[in-house]
Amino acid sequence: MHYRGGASPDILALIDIDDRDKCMAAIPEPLAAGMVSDSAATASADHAAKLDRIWIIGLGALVAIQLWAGMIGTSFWLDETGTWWIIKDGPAEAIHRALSWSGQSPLF
Amino acid sequence: MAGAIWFLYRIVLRLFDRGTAAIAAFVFLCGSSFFAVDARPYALPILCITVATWAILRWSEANRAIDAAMFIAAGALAVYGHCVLSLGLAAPIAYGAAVFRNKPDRLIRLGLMMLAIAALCVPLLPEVLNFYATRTAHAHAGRPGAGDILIGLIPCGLTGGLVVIVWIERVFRRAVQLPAEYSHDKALLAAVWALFAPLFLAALSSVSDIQLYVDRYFSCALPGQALITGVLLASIRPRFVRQALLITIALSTIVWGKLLAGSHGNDDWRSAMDLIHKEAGSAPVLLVSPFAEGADFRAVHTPALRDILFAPASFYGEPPGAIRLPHAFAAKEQAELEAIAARIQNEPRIYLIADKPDRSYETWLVGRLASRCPSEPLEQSFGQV
Repeated sequence: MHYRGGASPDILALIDIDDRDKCMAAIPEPLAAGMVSDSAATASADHAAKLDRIWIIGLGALVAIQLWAGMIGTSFWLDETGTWWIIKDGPAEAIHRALSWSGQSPLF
Repeated sequence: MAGAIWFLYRIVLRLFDRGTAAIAAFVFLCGSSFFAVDARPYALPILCITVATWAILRWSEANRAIDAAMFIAAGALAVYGHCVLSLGLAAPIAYGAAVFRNKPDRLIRLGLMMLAIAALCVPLLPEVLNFYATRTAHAHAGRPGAGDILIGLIPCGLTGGLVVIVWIERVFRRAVQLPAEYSHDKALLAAVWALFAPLFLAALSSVSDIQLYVDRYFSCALPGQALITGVLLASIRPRFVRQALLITIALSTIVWGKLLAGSHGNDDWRSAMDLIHKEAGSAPVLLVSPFAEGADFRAVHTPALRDILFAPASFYGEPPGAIRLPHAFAAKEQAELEAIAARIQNEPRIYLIADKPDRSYETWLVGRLASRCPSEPLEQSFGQV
C-alpha cells in the first residue's frame, strides 16, 4: 500500500500519543494533513473490513444453525445405516467390520 | 467439518488476508454442509487434508521439523480416513514442489515426507485391493458428461456459477481488485486443490471401469474451490455487490438444504419404515437389499451379512412379515422366486420396499399378482426409497 505522506500509519501507531503529536508538528502542514486523512481512510477501511467479517460470521452462523442443526435429526440415508451396523456391536467388531466391509474408513 | 473450516481460514489468512479468509471459509461452510451432518467418513479426510496443507505452508516458510511431522501425520490420517479422498493431498504436494523447485535439498525432504506417508499407509493395502476388487459395487454414476464435470468443479451449485458470471462481468467493468499477495505458487495450490480430484476421477471413469465420479469422492476438492471462490468474491467491487452474492449463497444453501432436510441424501428410510409399521401389520413386506453386496439369495441368507444387507430395516425395525430379496432382480433364481410368489399369492395385501429406480421386482409382482391384487401407489414420497 502506498501512503502519500511517505510514512505508514502503522509506524505512527507504534509511537506514543505525545511523541506522535511532536512528530506531526515537525512535519510540514500540507504533508501532515495528507497523512492524517490517509490514516483516517485506512481506519475507516479497517472498520468496514471488520464489519464485513462480523457480518460474514453472522451469515455463516445462520447457515450452520439452519442446516447443521436442522438436518441432524433427519432420517439416515443408506450409507449412514451402514455406519450404524459397523459401530453397533462395540469397538472390536467395529474395527473388524470397517476393514472387511468395502468403502469404509477404519479411522472414522 | 468445523475444524476443516477453521484450518481453511488459517490457510487463506496465511496466503492472502482476513477478508478473503472469512469469505472462503464461509463459502466452504455452505458448500460442505451436506458432509458436515453426514454419518460418513468424508469430513474426516477433508479435515486432515486442510491440516496437511496448513502444515506444508508453515514448513515452506519456517522449515521446522514439527510442521513436517504434522504434514506426515495429517497426510497419513487422510489416507486412513478415505483412500479416494486422499487425492486432495496432491494440492500441498504440488505447492511444496513448486515453491522449492530451485531448492533440491528441500525437494528431497518433501519427497522423504511423502515416502513416510506412503510407509505409514502400507497396512491399508489389503483394503485398497479389496476396494479395487469390488469397484463395480461402488460404480453409481457411470461415465460423467461435460455437464457433470462442470458441476463438480463449482461449489454451491448454481450460486457458485453466478459468482463466476458476476466476477467476469466485473472484470470487464474494471471493478475487480485481486489481492496484492497473489503469486503463481498460491494459484497453483488453489487450482490443484480445486480441480485435481474431480478431473482425475472423471478421467479414470472415462478410460477404465473404475466409475468413481461421485460428489462425495471428490469432496476433498471443496476447500480449494471455496478458496478460489473466496478470492473471486473478495476481489469484487463495489462492496454491496459482494454482499448481495454472499447473501444469495447463504439463502440458496439454506433453501436447497431445507428441500432435502426431510430426507438427508434423498433416502427417507425412517418415514418409509414408520409407514410400514403402521400399515402392514403381519402382511408380507418384500425388502429388497439396498446394498449391491446382496447380489443373490445366497448372500441374502448368509448370517454374517444379515444385518448389513438390510441395515435400514434393521435400524428402523424390521417388520414381522419381512421377506428378504437380493439387490438386483434374481431372474436366474426362479425356484426361490416361485417359493416367494406361492407364499404371497393369497395375501390380501403385500408391500414392497426398494431404493433403486430399477422396477424389476415391481414388474414381476404385477405380472404374477395383478389380477388378484392390483397395485396401489402411495401419495407419499420417501426420496429414492
